[in-house]
Amino acid sequence: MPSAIRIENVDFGYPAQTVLRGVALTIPAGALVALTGANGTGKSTFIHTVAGLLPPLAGKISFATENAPAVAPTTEAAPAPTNASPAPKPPEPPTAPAAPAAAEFSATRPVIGLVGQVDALDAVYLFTGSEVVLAGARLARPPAAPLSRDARARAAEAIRAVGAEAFAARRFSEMSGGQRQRVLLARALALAPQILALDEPVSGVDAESRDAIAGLLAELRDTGAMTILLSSHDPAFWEPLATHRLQFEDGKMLF
Amino acid sequence: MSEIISEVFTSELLRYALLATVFTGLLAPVAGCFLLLRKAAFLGVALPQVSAAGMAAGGLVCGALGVGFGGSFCSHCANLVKPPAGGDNNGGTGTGGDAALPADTGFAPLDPPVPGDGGAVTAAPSWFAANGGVFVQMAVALAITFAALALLSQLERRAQNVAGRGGAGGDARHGALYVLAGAGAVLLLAANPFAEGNFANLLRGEIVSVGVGDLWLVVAALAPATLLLALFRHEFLWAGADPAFAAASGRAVFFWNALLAVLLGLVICGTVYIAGPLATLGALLLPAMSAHTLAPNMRAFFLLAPPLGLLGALAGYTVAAAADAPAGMTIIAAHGVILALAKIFSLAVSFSFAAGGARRARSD
Repeated sequence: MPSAIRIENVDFGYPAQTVLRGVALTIPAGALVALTGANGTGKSTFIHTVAGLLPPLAGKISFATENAPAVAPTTEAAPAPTNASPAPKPPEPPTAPAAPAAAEFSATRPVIGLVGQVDALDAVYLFTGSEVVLAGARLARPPAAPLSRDARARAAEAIRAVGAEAFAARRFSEMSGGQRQRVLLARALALAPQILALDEPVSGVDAESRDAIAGLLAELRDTGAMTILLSSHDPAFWEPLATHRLQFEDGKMLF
Repeated sequence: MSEIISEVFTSELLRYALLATVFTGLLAPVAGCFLLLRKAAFLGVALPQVSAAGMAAGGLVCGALGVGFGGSFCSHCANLVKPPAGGDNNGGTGTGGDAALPADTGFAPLDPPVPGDGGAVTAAPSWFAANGGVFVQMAVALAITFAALALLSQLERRAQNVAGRGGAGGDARHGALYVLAGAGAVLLLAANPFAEGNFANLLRGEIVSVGVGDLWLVVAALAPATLLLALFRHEFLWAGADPAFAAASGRAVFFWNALLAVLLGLVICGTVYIAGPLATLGALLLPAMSAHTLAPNMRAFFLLAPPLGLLGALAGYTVAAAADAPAGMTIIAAHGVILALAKIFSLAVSFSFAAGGARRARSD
């Protein structure tokens, strides 16, 4: 089940530098939220903090528990962006009442599938595409637990979903940027995450891979299987996909 | 030659050395794979030297405590501490330590025993007083190795927190650690009036001087550490390869990195104890490099490194026996030959693929 995210007066940033101050919002479960804005405005910092890689400098981030009611996803594509979120259909504000009740939120972080930059893996690692995707299935299980048939099937399905069957046996370091990004997306899906966080997933990616990624994200959005955070400064990519939008600008977040 | 090799493999004393060669050859490359992947080869150079300094410090501690090293139990350190009053340094085991090695094994000769070694025992010391030096020395070496790892980790974190301040890089820190530990080992040995030539054999990598106590102590350290490295290899791999993804998916990256450091410390300490710092570095890195050259993927990399390490260790050991050469250095040379062959094979395969591609292009 996808998890809603509640952010209460959170300061984002690093010990020596606060990037965003006093952010308060609730992201509904099953939403595809576009994080937009120029480079250096705090999109990646926001994603990394929600994903637990950076601690909030102040405030609290909590997540809907397993028992929280799901929010029906919006299935229509987003129109032109507005300063208000959600983007597609009128304004269901980010603090939407449809989100689960306060008692059903917990600080326990759900499984988050993070899709970073294509150069995330150093070439010294000899991973093939399949090994990278299998890592997602492995990390979804307890340490040292053998891979189950289901986990292998999920990895194979993730490879198929991103259209990587043709090159999954090749070494990751020898793939093109677009192929790598599709493999990284498949790895995140093999993790069976409740939240999928993508940081500039189509930056430096060829048209074919970009279309494949967009198609898959649209499919995931339509099923409402997970809450998706999508950082992008390319409106042509995020506009047709987003159900909500958060605009980052000059150390502030605009809804 | 065949008699020499036969003796090496059948002699009671040299059997321990052979087993030590097999264990280190097979197990150390697993740790080496992680050092290579983490691009921490210089750390792999520095840590064995720190371990060796720890061994030397352990020798001083043993001397201060009056704890001895049983002769055949731990022969290469047999002369490291002052013999207990009225007793010998071999704990009355009666083997005479290194002196009992057959002179015609073909291996480089070891230093003679100190006067009084193997002498009559008038008051038998307790087992620990006679043999416990192995454990005390290993404990001190481990403590110093872990302290060095903790210090490096702290410096690394501090350097990340003050990014842009322009401090010394990781390589410089590892280099400084290597130099300081090397000097420390020599100074500590010089400060120990009972550190006779046999301990120099350890620093040179004379694996033939291994006693049964050394062997089992090292197996007790190496085998579980290597087992854990293999068992949790995916956690260690992804905590290093993509820590952001591992952390977001719920793995405690700091814990896995800390556990990896502890296990590497154990393997390095154990290997240094029987093979010396230089041979340890060879056993860690060279088979891992050969496997990295040949492997098509990560799974093959981890599967290839141990057998290549074993092959180099056994080949080097046998050649050392036949050529009357220092075993540790000959094993390193054998690993080097295997690495060279792996590179040649890899180049040949690349040329073959390139030539095949060109032929196909012409025919099209």
